[in-house]
Amino acid sequence: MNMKTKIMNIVKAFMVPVVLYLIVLLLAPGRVGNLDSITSMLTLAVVPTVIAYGVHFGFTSGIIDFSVGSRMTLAGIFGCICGCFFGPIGMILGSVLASLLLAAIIGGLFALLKIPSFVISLGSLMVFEVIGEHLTKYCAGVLPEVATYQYLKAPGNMQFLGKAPYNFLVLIVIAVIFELVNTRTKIANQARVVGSDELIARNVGIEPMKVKFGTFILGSIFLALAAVVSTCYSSAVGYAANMGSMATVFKPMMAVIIGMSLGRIVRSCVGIFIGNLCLSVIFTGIIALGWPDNLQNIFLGLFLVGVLGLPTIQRTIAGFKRRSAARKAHTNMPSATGTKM
Amino acid sequence: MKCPTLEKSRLGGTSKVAVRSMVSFLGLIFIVAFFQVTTGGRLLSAKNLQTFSNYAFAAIIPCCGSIFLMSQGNMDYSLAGNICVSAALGALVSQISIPLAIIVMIVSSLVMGAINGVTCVCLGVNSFIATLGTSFMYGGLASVLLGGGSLTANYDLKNLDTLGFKYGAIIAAALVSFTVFNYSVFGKHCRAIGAKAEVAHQSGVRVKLERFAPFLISGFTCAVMAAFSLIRTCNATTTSGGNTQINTMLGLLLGGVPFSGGWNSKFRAVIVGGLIMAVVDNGLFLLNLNTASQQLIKGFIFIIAVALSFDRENTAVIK
Amino acid sequence: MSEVKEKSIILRAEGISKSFGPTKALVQVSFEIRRGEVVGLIGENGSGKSTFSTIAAGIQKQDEGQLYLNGEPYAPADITDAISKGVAMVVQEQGTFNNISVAANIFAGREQQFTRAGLLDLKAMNDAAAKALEKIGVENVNPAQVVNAMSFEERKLLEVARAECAEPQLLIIDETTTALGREGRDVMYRLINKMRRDNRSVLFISHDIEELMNICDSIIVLRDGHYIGALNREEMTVGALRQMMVGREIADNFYRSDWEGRLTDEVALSAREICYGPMKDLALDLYKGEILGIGGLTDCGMHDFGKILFGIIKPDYGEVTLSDGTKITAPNQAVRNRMAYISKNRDTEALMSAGSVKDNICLPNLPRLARFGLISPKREMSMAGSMADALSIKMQGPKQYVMYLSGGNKQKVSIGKWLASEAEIYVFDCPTRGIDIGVKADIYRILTDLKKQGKAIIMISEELPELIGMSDRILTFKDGAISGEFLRDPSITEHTLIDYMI
Repeated sequence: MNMKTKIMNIVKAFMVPVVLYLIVLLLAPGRVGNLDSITSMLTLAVVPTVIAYGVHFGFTSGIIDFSVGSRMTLAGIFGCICGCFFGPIGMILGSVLASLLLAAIIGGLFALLKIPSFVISLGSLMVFEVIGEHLTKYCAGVLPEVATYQYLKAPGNMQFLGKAPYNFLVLIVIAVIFELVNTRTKIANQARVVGSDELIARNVGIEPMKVKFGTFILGSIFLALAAVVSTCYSSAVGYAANMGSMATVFKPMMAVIIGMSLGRIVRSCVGIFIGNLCLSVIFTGIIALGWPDNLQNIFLGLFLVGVLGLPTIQRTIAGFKRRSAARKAHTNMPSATGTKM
Repeated sequence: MKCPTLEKSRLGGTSKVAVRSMVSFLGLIFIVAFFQVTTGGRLLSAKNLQTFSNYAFAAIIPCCGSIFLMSQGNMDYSLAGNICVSAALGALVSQISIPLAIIVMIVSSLVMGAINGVTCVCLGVNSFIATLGTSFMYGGLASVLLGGGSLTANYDLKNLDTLGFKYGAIIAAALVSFTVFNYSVFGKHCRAIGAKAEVAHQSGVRVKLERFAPFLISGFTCAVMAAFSLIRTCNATTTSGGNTQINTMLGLLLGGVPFSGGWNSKFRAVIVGGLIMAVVDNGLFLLNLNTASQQLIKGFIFIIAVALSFDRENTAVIK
Repeated sequence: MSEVKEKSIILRAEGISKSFGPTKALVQVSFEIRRGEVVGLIGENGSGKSTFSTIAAGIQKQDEGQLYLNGEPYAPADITDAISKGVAMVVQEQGTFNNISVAANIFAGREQQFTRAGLLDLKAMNDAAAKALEKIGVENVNPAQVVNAMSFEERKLLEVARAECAEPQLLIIDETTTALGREGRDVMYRLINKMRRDNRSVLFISHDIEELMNICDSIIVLRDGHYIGALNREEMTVGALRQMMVGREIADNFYRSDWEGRLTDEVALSAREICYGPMKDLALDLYKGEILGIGGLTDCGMHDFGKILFGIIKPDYGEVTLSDGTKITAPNQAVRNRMAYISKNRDTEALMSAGSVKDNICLPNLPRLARFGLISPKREMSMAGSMADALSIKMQGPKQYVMYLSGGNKQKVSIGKWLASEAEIYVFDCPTRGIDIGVKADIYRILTDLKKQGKAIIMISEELPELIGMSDRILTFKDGAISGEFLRDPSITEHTLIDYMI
């Protein structure tokens, strides 16, 4: 593919969120027709994109992981604590370290126990959420300048990273890292192999469990970065309760799927961002139209189901097309005899 | 060559099932003993009978419905959302007429169950994720209906809150479920679908229809639970559904139903597993543990329960 | 003779045995392969050839016995280990991965060699892939392209490149050529000859006697897991090999002993204008009291056709109707109309492995066993028991899980469930695949009995002797069309049929 085609493809791919934006613009011109609104939509897509980068490797190899939100929270908490003592580098490193540790735990459990990934992730998230809550409250008691009973504060000098335009710069850097990791590391490549056909993969000497463990580790780095950016954006990291953290993974998961379907024309890093952009345009639109917050959840559920059910719908449509084509072919030549025995 | 990573174990199929049942039953005895001791005897006291009946109801009734789903290898994660919406609607309508409220609750729950069924069976989405998606939808709908607060139901409903009614309902539900699950054509088809859906299909089972039906059954039990919630508290809130889906899944798993269903799914899992969860919830309540700690414990139990019961031999690829 | 012995032995098998539960796949198999030799391995389905090859390639381990590679004990831990020691294998089934490139496919699992400082050198990998393809004589393939759009044959050649990349001392080719076209086979033969010239060896597994005789220096015959013998170039004849494979003359009453055709001219089932995949306007009539054989290569479409007849697959166009005009559109309707279907995929489509013999046998019959919607366990057990007796199913009891039965007994359970349903029309797909000779004879007897009772039977099979021996009428399938029709006659041979299938 030469340069011109590549650029055309990227433009084509970006058409999708642009069209969605135009629809929203038509429905609520007053609320979204300004630069602030567009910036906000773009910003809203940043953190889920980094999360999606983290989820991508596991998802490719067939893993469904709901613990992402709770792990990010813990990584963020640890990052905040380190950030207050060791500055910005401390925050990033602390986050990454905590995230790696958690990924090792959950990946290790998965590889050792050999039970479905969503079971492990569900059980783990239940445990990690509670740990997050207890850790926050403990910090509130011990380090009151960093934490309250509801959340931990982000270090003041880092908070700019979460806002435009710096967050976009950060995103570009992370996207480049992701693209490098995705195309050139052994684990990412083998994750694709395992995801394609695990049984044959075993026959060529790949150990699926090792690869899947690797995807947890690799993904956790991006989760840590997402935690840092998210904390900087909201100036705080708060814990979720009652399994509310499950919701964190849905938009990124949908974005990964959208990215996969755009995979033939754009690279994953771009496709995933476009996917998130579509979602943030839609959800901003919902708020702009004055619909209640609760409706967001309804839409989230609908989208999730719609996006995941799409392959089946496509297959059914393909079947219809084949059958009607065959029917047409037969009405055009009523005297077809074929081979009869 | 996709070679035999399924090398057969020495233990035959039937003896494994027996071991699993025994383990569950021993587990129940252990749990009862554990909580009886740690609550200083309060668990099995006469005073607790009323409270326990509530936990037993909340545990066993949904299991009676969900056993059909789990024996096929599916699950319903939207139980809580379903219950909340139904309870909300029921509370509203009960102010007009109680029988009408019951009809409304049943219809709404069945509709929600049908949506689950369509998503899972017709759209081909994995049941867990499908019902997770719908749980978001129902949860959102419930909060729209409840407008952030709660709805009060007709106080006459309180009259039904008797031990006799509750235990009677549990026994009736269990008997019906037991008979249908073990001896009806549908019940056997469910387990066949769990064992190998394609085999069932090629043997003349209408797999699509019979994978759809358990979602309706599950929906129906949600209506029952919604009614029960209104009877008990005369209030519909966003927590009316409680932790039903996790409890039901956990209960059936601990009771011995394999994660992917099939012929090893035995009905006794409903009773044994349901009782285990009822005792655990009742015990944790008596011990004054907050919801967070309960969640922590259940997280561990969930992983351990599946780890112990998962049929690794017959699953070539574990995702 | 001494010159031959001069050639060093590359692989020696001593007393290799392997069992799967009650099934003995290999029993004390011992033989040698010399350097620079192309050795053929032949045997019927279930003879143990694939089991042996997978042991040699490191996919599984033997229960007893030792392998020696170049004189040293050889016990590969896994496939990568085997490849590093010089033994590589190409299999019959699909072995490539979707959504990744040609180069990634060739080097799947071996990315290490292109990794520098943790990162993959994609250009180096692509170049190496191009070179590997060139070496086996495949051109015009872009190593960076994704394989999804490539044909089965092109993808199979990628697997050959993958195996040859490692410059194996022993290349095992397991029934690969059956699915390849002319060009693909030529690539394989060129590679085999090249290996011979390079003093490397090939173990060529096939059930195509002619092909083996053309390219092999010697042929080893396995039967029911036992090593029967080896024939070298001078000794090879089709008759001798057949004799060793089956253990007796084929013209026995192993199959049917009569030469009569179908019993009636009453049509039981008709298919008209069936369009699906390669099939275009396929039409067929099945008569009562007839065994209609359908034969062809694996991908000719006949297996899907069987599923269309039973309603499992919905064709793009066309109808399947019974004699009373009922259209068959779904399996449950087919069952209600007294039809039966036995898939060739025994463990994934025909039987519930994690289910008891009783549950399997009763499954299609549950509605009939039910009284007031409920089924009594006693009636289930008695149905299972009577079928087990009638078919002499070797098992511990009706409650035993089917996975523990041997292939032949599993197939009997499969048949039993339909006999119990008293079906009138049977569609068998590869009814004796992977079954030992004794049970095969039993199954042929069952088929003959069914025919005599006036049932209508379709037998789809990839085994020509079986088709010739059992059918009243044979239809050959090729690329989705019926290419020939043969009525039962002693003069029909495999030669006659094979021309219409390839």
